[in-house]
Amino acid sequence: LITRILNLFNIYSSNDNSILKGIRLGGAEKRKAENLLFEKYNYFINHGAKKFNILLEEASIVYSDAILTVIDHIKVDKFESKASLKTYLNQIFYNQCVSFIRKKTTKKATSTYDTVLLDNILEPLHDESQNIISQIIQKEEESDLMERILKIGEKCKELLMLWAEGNSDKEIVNLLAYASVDVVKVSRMRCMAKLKGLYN
Amino acid sequence: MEDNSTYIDSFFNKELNQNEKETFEARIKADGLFAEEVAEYVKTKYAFKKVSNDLKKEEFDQILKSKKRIGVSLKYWLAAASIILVSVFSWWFVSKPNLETLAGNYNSEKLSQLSSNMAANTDSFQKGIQSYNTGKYEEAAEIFKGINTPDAITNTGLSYLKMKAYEKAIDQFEKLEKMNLLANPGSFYKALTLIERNKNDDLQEAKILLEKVKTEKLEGWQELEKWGI
Repeated sequence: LITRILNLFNIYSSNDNSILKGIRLGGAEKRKAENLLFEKYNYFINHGAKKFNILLEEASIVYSDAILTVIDHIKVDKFESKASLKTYLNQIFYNQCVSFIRKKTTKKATSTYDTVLLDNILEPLHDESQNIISQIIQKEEESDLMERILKIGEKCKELLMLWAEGNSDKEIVNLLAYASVDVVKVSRMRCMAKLKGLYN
Repeated sequence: MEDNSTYIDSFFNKELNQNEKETFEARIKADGLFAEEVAEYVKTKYAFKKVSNDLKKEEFDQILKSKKRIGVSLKYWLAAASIILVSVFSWWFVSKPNLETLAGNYNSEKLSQLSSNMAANTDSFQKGIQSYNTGKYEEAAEIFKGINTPDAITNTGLSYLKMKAYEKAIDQFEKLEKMNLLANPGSFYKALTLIERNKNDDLQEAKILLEKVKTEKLEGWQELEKWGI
């Protein structure tokens, strides 16, 4: 109980800057900061459930997604500190609750792919290009894709996961103790080629 | 087949300039094989990001579960603390002196000595006070009985109270109660006498009297405030 109280004190006394710094630092610091961010505003779950008349479990899922989106935005410097973290997260959580309800009420057959996640990755492309790439992606079932990545070695998994999380090759050098940035890049490309080979 | 992986990587790492970006997008539209390569790159990133997110969500879920567990145990702690608190308060209230003790203490502490009243400062009155203050209550009662003033009636009653001649004391205080005085301690002293006698409905009657003293702000009400009544 005392540990928990100290932990709560740590959560509520932590400011935006320490969370942002931790997430940008990567590694263990990032993980700590992510959990801190999640815990600090998790009262949004109750508010969201009440406001949008959804189950607490549903609000928890949306909240987790909102946190992950905010983390990604921090990581790629999309969050510019114009608003406080609380306001920014609240806006994203609100939008995602609206999307969740829309998905729930329109019983339209949707892709098994997580569209929010996919759209985030496709974001640098223009709409037309995005559509072309999305259509190609849909040719493979998401479950088949997920099965395919399980077949790749642990070393590649670890490396590609850090890359997908938004870490640069320079950051991965330190996180996985590689010899240099070039080694990281070459290793990453080899792993991707290996994965592509599994598809073909 | 040409390996475009580094080129695709550069685009998504935002390392290309505007012209290069436009060329890249144009190639997607024109070159199906290139678009397939881009799609494979995006799928790879998507799949590993999804694995990472799922792991993170599991971790978040664990945080929520542990919070719930702590919440439940915190509820038990709070319940236990409440019980202790209630017990302490109950003990305090139970152990708080009851009405009989308060009245007894008042009698022995505040009524052991009488002060002289300038308005009734006659020789016999002073003699009565002297007798009372030296514990000669019978003698004091006899002296005060002979002086027909409110203070003398009060002191006669108090002398009887000290002698534990409760009926006689009550008679005196009732006589006093009927007098139209600015400060009349009749009801208060009668209540004290009833509490001390404590027979049949004495306590009940005393409580009614004390309630009257309190609400009508009769002589003695400040003492009742100190008692917490």
